[in-house]
Amino acid sequence: MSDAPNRDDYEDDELATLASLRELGVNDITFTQPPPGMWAAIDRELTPGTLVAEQPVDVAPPARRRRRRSIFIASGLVAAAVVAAAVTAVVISRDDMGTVLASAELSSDGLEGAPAQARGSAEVISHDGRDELRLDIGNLRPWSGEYLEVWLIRPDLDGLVSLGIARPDGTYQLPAGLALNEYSIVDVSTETYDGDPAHSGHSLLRGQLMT
Amino acid sequence: MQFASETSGAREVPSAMNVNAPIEALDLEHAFLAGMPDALKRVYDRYGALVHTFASRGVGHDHASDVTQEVFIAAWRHRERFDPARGSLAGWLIGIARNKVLESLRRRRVRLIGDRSDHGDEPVDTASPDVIDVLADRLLLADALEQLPERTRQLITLAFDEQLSHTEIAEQTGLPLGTVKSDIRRGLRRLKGVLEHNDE
Repeated sequence: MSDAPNRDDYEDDELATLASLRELGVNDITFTQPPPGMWAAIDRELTPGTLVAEQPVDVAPPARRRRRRSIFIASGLVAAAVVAAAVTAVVISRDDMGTVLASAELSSDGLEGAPAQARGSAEVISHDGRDELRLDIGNLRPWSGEYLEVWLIRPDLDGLVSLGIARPDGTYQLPAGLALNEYSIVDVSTETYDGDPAHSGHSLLRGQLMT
Repeated sequence: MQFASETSGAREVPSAMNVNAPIEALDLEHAFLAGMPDALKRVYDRYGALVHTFASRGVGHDHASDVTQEVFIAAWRHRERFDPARGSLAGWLIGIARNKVLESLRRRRVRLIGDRSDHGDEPVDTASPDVIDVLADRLLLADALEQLPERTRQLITLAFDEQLSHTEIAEQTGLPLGTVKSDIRRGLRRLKGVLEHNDE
């Protein structure tokens, strides 16, 4: 800007702003509107109570869901573990939003009776000295008369920790001292009100935390 | 269009506020911070295109919607962390979007590393934080320029695009020289504030 013909009209900081305007090419920008439906999706995500639907949404016939009683649905787990092993540790600082210690992409692939194509994501965030899991389960909703529960499971399937009933805000406090590298699978199950605190064996979403 | 900060000088605007922000933006920021029921919708209506354009250019069209959605959800859940004294709401939103974009790019790289058999031919995105930061400045400036009163925007465009002097701009537009000077000065002050505070 130093050789600009109009530089005498401006203070230094004004010249800097003019230079930024020209160099960044702000006149060439065409803004893109978000797709229709975006606001509805945001609103749905943030509205308390929408987690419980009156009707089943996008699910397989109930008869198919009852076949298996074990959580040991191994398909996909070995592959996920291999992927995790290939990834080097990355800790991303997110300023005052907390630090991401690990993250997982969740999917219903290979989970019998789960809605096809269901997707989600999870992050373990260290914030104010505490670790929490932030879980996005997308459009997943419990069947009528059932509820969703969130778990951390060991890759060898030899142990699991319940983080509780699925919450609308998606945030779960992790037990202090929990070894995340041991309980590294995030699992969302559907549970009936049968009084049995154990995992129902019906997982709808699952993913491997990667550090 | 008249703004308090223009008609009576910056001294009447509370010192903690960004004095360069138009008054409607301040109202919106207050409503947002207070968690008013319609505040996020108003923020989305005002800044949705800014965030989505940033996301589209940052991570590509296919992944942009996820980023845009995450930004507004995170912004609402963490709205108490927005500090108007530190910068504009636009700058804060873009700060969140910047992190989401880099996170999305990182995740895709992670996936590519882990699964070369399926995606071996897919190019790994090379967008770096520096590139993303320049994009952020560019879009914030373009957005702020669009928000200026039409006459001010036109005068500033003549100043930076054609590099005309104030006298030449006055001659070309037929406006009094004093009006040209004060319009451009006020407009540039507001634009400068956008860049200064984009450091969330």
